[in-house]
Amino acid sequence: MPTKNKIILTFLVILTAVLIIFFEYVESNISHMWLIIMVAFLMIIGLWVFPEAKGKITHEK
Amino acid sequence: MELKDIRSNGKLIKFRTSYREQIDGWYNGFLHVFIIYSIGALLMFYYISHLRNISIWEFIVVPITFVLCNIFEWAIHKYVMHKPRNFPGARAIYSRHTQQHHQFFDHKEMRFAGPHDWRVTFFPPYALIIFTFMSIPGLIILALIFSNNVGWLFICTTTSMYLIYEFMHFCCHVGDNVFLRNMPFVNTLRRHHAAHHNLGVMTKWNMNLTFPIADWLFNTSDLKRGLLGHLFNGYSEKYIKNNTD
Repeated sequence: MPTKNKIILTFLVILTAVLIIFFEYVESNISHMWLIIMVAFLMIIGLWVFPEAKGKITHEK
Repeated sequence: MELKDIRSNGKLIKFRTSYREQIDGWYNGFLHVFIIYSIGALLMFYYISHLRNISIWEFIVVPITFVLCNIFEWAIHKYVMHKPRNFPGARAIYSRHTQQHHQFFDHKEMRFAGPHDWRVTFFPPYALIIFTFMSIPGLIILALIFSNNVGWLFICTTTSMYLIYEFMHFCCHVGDNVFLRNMPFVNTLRRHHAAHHNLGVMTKWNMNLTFPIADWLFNTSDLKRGLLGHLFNGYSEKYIKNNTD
């Protein structure tokens, strides 16, 4: 995945997490707030830690 | 790093060696699986914790979503993973699946050599993030039209189907054992998917990667039998059509 797309996806993850955390804060669901923080953290790690295979794979003929 | 009893030709072995050279040395299959299933499990916990006093009619969304996910999985596999398309990301999906996954395994050799090879089968974790974002509009729309429970049950089903997909596909690429041979659905998919890995028929037959429902529905299965027969076929080759090769 190109870096530009990863940045967009990371932004979306953070934005969504902030929105959900806000709603959970209003509802006083502190445990849900922490759960969403963990999910967002794991998602961002997953996005940036597992790059695609580098270079072009050669096909033997 | 390679299987000692590999059952295939030199071309496949050379591709596997070449593919492994492209993977970063630190890659750890267990960490990959841990991240995917940790995100999945936390999301499922979050969704389920929002369910309140579910009525029977609200559960109807589960089988409907299950079948729609099955058709979606079939369609993505048939029309994106095996056909080069021009919309964003489609080329990468095609390359990763047809030009990498299908060169790494053929119908004679379906096995990983070890956890260092799991990357060729498990999607990168960002795929789960994308599928989650794709499900959120469905959650909101169903919650607005029907009830919050229907929305949460919908996203529970889509996320479950994704996690089942990863598990079932993984089971297709490990060595045979008592559990895999006798576990209903898993044994069916192992034969179903191994037949799909025949390069001559991979664009035509056996497109499902969980339960062969859409393959039965759209007649893209290599079996000639009913839906229940498809689901519980196991390793049997008794009902294979004659014209699949």
